[in-house]
Amino acid sequence: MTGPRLAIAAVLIALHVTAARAQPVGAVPGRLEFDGGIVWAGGQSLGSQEANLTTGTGSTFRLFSSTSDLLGAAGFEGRVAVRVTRTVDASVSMSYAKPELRTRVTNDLENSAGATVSESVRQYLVGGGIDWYVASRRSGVRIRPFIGGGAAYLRQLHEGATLVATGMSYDAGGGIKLLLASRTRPRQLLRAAGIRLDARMIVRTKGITFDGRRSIAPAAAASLFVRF
Amino acid sequence: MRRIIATLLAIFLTVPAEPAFAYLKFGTRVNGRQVTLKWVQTPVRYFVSSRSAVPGVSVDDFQAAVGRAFAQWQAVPTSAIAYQFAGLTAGLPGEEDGMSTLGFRNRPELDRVLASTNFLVDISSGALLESDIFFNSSFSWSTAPAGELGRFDLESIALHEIGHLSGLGHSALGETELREGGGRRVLGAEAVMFPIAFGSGTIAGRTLKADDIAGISDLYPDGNFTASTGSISGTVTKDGQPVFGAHVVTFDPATGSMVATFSLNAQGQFSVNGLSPGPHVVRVEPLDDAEIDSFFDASLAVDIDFKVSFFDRLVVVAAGGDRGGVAANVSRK
Repeated sequence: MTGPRLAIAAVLIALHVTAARAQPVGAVPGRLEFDGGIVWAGGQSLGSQEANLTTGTGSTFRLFSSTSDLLGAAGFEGRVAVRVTRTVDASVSMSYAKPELRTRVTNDLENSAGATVSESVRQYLVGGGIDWYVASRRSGVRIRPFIGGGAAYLRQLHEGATLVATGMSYDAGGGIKLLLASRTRPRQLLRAAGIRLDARMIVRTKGITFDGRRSIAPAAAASLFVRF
Repeated sequence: MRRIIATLLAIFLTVPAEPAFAYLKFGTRVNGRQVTLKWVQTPVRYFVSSRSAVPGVSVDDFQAAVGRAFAQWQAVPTSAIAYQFAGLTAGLPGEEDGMSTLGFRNRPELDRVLASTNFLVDISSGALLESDIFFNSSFSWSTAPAGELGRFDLESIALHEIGHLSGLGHSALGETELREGGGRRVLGAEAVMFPIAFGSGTIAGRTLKADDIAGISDLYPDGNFTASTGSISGTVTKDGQPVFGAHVVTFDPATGSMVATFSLNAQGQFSVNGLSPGPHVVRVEPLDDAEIDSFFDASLAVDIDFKVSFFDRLVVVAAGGDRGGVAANVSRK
């Protein structure tokens, strides 16, 4: 339900805010961009821990081993961007995903089959970023590559919303925007529409982590955008 | 006049009317009501018997070793228990004199008992009046910093017995194997309150573990304990029927620490308190690494006919909260 709601909200805001704005000559039509789509972010290893007993010599005697991961997951992402210069957009964005936190138990002293146990995490990101269009954004060019980066506040709720972990997420990457339709005549509210595809590397600090280390994961997103 | 009984040696563990948190605790019945045995007033004053010298351990050595053990329990940051050395006494442990006394006694007939704790309880109120600890001088003892070959470490054993003196029962967080000549050898333990000691010559039992810390904090919580930790509660069933006496171990995959309890009533209910916030793995195992009567009254039917199993979800504990409704199903061996 998050995706459609976001899109409706985006259109309403766009109608209200941008109707009177004129476009610079030679630029891509529109000043405000709204997009919504899906994003997939890779997982992160949370490390391994042994369930150790202490022996009479002070060494350890393993009861079982565990390895934990926050798995990759697909989610929804929405963005509102504003043109800052002819080649730079600044944006605010939010995303939602539901990755699984999984612990695999192996080498159990009394249960050779081991076990895999998990919980569902609700993950929210709210942040901002900058996109820089590599090629000149001349009217009529349908594919526009860009590079960009951003930072977002990370909020992860454990199953049952009983516990919250927060942190930051930083990303850098690039992609393309494929214009499906554009109109340059004045007085038209909807100036362009298209598809945005991008790939990024994400660095997460804090949030759900067992060892306090930063994690790095790939991410990819596909979305539809409209410009006003 | 108050009716007073002395319960000697292994006070029987009775099943509380409600599931005990985190740990087996000693209990007694007062007017048909189950009461947890604990000290109402702290610091708990203890005496050392001036007749506590044995070969290799002077009275001063003894006092210093038990003092270090008391200090460890007292240093648990989430527990409010405190102890105070009250002086030397000519009395011996086991004498009903209103003084909690620690010392040696020669009990060669107790050939598997290194030490034991007894209690004097006011059965009209359930108040704990006195608790003595005797160390069996028929064994060889040491207080050497690194231990001594062939001698049992007094500080390690004192640490265990002081847990009893404070009201804690045994923990089953350990693994053993049967010896050929009888008895069990400890492969490993992760609780000072495990009922079987390491062999002689080792000092590995001198340090409290997470399970011990949860137990003493649950019994004597300080102001921050309840707010800073959480609990997991639920039931253990087999073929749809409740299991009594299942050993429930919680494991924190972030730190590796373990805290355990048992399913403690006819409904198979358990509750583990004192857990660090975060996800936990819940493992259920039969109580088969020590004699059952080390934990429960022999009249109670403890079910050990099931396989080790894991609850299929990570159980998330929040600070100050209880994650209830964990329904762990086990299957027959």
